[in-house]
Amino acid sequence: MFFRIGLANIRRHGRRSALILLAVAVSVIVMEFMAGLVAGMRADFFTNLLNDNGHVRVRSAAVADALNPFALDLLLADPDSVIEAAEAHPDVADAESILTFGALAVAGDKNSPMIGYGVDLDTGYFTDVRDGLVAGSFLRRPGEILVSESTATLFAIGLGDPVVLLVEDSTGAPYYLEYTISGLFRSKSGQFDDTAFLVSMNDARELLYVENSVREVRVRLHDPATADTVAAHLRSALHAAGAPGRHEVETWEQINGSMVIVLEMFDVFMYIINVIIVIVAATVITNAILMNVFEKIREFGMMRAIGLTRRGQFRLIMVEGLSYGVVGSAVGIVFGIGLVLYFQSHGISVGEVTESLGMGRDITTAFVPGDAIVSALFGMLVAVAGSLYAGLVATRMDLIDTLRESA
Amino acid sequence: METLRVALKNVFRTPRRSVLNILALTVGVSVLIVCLGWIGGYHTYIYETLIKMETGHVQVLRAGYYAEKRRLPVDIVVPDYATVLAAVEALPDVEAAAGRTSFSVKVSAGAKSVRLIGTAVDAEREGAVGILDDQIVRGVFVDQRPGVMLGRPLAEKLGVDAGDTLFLSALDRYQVENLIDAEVVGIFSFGYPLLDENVVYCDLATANRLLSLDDEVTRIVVRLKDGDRLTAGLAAVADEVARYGRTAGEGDGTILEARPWHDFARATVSAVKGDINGFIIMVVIIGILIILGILNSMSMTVHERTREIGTLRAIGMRRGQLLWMLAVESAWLAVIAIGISLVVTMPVALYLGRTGVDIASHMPPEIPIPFGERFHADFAPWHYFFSIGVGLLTAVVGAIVPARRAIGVEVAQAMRGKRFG
Repeated sequence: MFFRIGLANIRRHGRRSALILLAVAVSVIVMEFMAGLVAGMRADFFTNLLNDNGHVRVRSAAVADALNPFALDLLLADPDSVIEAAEAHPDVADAESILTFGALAVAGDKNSPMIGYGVDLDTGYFTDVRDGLVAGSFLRRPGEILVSESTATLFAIGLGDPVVLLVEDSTGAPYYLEYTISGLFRSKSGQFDDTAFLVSMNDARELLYVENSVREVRVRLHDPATADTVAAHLRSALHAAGAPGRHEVETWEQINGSMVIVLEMFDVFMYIINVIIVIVAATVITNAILMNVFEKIREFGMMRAIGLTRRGQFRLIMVEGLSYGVVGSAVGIVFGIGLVLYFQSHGISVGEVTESLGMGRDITTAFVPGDAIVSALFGMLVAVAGSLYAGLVATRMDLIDTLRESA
Repeated sequence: METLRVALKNVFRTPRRSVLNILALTVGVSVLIVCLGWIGGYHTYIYETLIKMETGHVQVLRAGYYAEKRRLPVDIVVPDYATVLAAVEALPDVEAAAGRTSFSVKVSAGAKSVRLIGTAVDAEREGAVGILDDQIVRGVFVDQRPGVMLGRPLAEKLGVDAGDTLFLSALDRYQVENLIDAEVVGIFSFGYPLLDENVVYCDLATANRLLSLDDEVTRIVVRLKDGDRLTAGLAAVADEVARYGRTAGEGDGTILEARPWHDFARATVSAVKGDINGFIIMVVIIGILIILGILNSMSMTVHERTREIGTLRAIGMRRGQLLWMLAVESAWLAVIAIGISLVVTMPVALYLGRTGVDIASHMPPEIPIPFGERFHADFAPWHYFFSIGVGLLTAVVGAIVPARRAIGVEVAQAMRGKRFG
């Protein structure tokens, strides 16, 4: 019965009800959108960045503080033992070697310092490159090179054209080899596109004159949460293999510490915005509900006179507030989810700043049902909190005063 | 005057309602003041720091250089440097100008070597356009003697100090590898990792020797007298370099081009714009909620005081006076809220402006934004005036619809008890 009365009262005060519903809806929309934004950034990070960078990384311990992180004396000489140790752990999905190096790319009369990635032809990484192929194909055979579309434009080259890579090999001598462009890609990161190319692992080793060495071993896990356990396992396995201190084993949190910091800062920022919006919305809602209550104070007086208790009056007010919360949250969540789904497929362009962290120019939102439920519940909570104050004020009044009160 | 007094009394006739509206307005005005000061800090500190540290206000480049700048070409140069420089320096909008050459270089010290970005500066003029000379922590700037300057972390990793010798090797403009030795004359520290760890500076003569350049640079960095007049300054420089091009016999004068500083700081500008857009959206949402809240309150006020309004009209109050009174009531809410906001935000503004916030230590080093040791917000008087104006306007706008309804009240019906609003 109380719910019926509550819903009837919503219809009774058309304009005011619309205002309360709008305030609740706006709060819910903002909360849902912000939650979707954070979820989207986390999803981009976990599914794209982590999947491509690996959840655990093993590399030479000297790289972190090295003058030149691409120096060839900082390679892992025994990647196979590292991979074997990694794959012995049940939480490891796969482990793969990557050989990163610096090179001068030369095409025609132009050259540019770039970063090369020597990869297995069937690499499970660099999915952004594979998905971003705009011409040709991924590396299929030795002698091929993958460059970005922007690099091809810079050098005025295309599919099938030669690119010479000039390096200082492991003997310290300059060395160069020519490769044929097998494919052009456009990844989500302009910065990556401008600086990177891919060649096969064997080609990279031949060019650098390194036998079996690699820059790092990337390990992908079934569950990123087990990264610490797997890292600890790898450290002890490598130590036992007689190579204490030569290897650095890092988890994804350490590898992507910068991005983790940015996500945490964004969480705080989102929280502050939500609090500000909710405070303002709550004042509007409380004010409006107070007006509703005082408009009906004589009516409440009559009901109290014929037997309605203070508790019953309080419950009536609270239920009306809850009704506003339910309807307003429902409206808000529909629009909020709509916004989230729209930007999930269209993305929000944020420019070059996220590229410096390895992400693309666009960030996308992500719809998480749990977040939507929380946002909707919070909207109801705000409406109920507003009614709480109105209910306390109304039930404190004497019966005679309420009967005398003119609306 | 009487209207003001009566309006103020009316505000306190419904204290609960007024307090809630004042609270909402206080939050809105406070958020706006702090946001404006924060954004002011972006312009004053971050943008200005970038302009002084790296970009200048305008850069003169050879046409085609910008599209290829990521490969640091030394074959796309500004020719006739002295002549072009003199022409640009003579412009009334220009405070100073200096040439720079950017190139890819391998720096070696003993067995250690690393590939870096080299930046050659015009030793005599660089101090007028940049702040590199103020960042020297050991040794001297290259205007004292020719040589190279390294960032402190880089020097530590190379194991060199002022007075030591380095070897520089690079592909010159003819694609021939050159190798020269150079003295480390100074160690600098910007506190900005992207520069401190990745860039080596030298004088133009050293770079010209390495790169086989003559009277040429890859860019001329221009500092304007008034950075707020960027568009005018850019146009003046662009016209001058176009005139040079025509004089030099290059057809329509497109041998050189002038570009604004933000073309060279896209990541920073995009980050700041993103923040500003977020602030704007938040303030607009708050503003809409406040307007609706006040609209609702004032509607209730008109509804409750229909008889009173009718009586006032009956005894001679004109519609305009009534409208004014209701608008002033709403404005009083804003005035009180503004007073509270000023009290609340003043210490915040003082802290953010004078002490600042240490953002840099919490930000990843890869973020190309020079926050400096402490980021300071920059609160200007117009921020307060603007926020006060917005607060007043929001409150008055919220009162318009109910006020217009009030002035439409039929006097006789209102006195009889028919309610409006």
